[in-house]
Amino acid sequence: MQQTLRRLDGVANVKVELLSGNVTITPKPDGGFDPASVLKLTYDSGVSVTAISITATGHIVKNSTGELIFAVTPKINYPIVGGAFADKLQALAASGATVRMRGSIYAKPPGKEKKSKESPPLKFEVQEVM
Amino acid sequence: MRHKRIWLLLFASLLFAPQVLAGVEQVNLKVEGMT
Repeated sequence: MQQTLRRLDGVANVKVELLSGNVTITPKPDGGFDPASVLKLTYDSGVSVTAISITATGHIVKNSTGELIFAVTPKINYPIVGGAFADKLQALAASGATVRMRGSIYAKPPGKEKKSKESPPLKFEVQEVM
Repeated sequence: MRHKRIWLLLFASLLFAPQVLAGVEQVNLKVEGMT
């Protein structure tokens, strides 16, 4: 698992804790690593990812429908689920400031669903604005 | 001379200004079925 993840584009370091099932990936600072690539890779390697959370720096922008988007790089952007941070995020979107946030982008749906090779649409559920 | 000093100061401030880089810093996974 560790070696498989290390082979992904843009990965600098991978730390695996077998007992807890926690895996920490540190991407290279070039911004080329897409967290969504992990879902496809782990599907192919036979393990099951139950949750993915990320810490990232980017901008908050509004799309054409007014939905807030966390734009990390031109290729990596997620619709935001603001929750308790909704007001603060609206203000940050208006200011155009760079923002560093931690949040969940994937949680395995409850129940025994058939595995799909297609990765589900990822949303950024804000846990902390730093 | 004075202009030269101002340009030098401007250059130095740009060189050492803290840069905010966008990107993913860390990814945490919770995984089942690892061996």
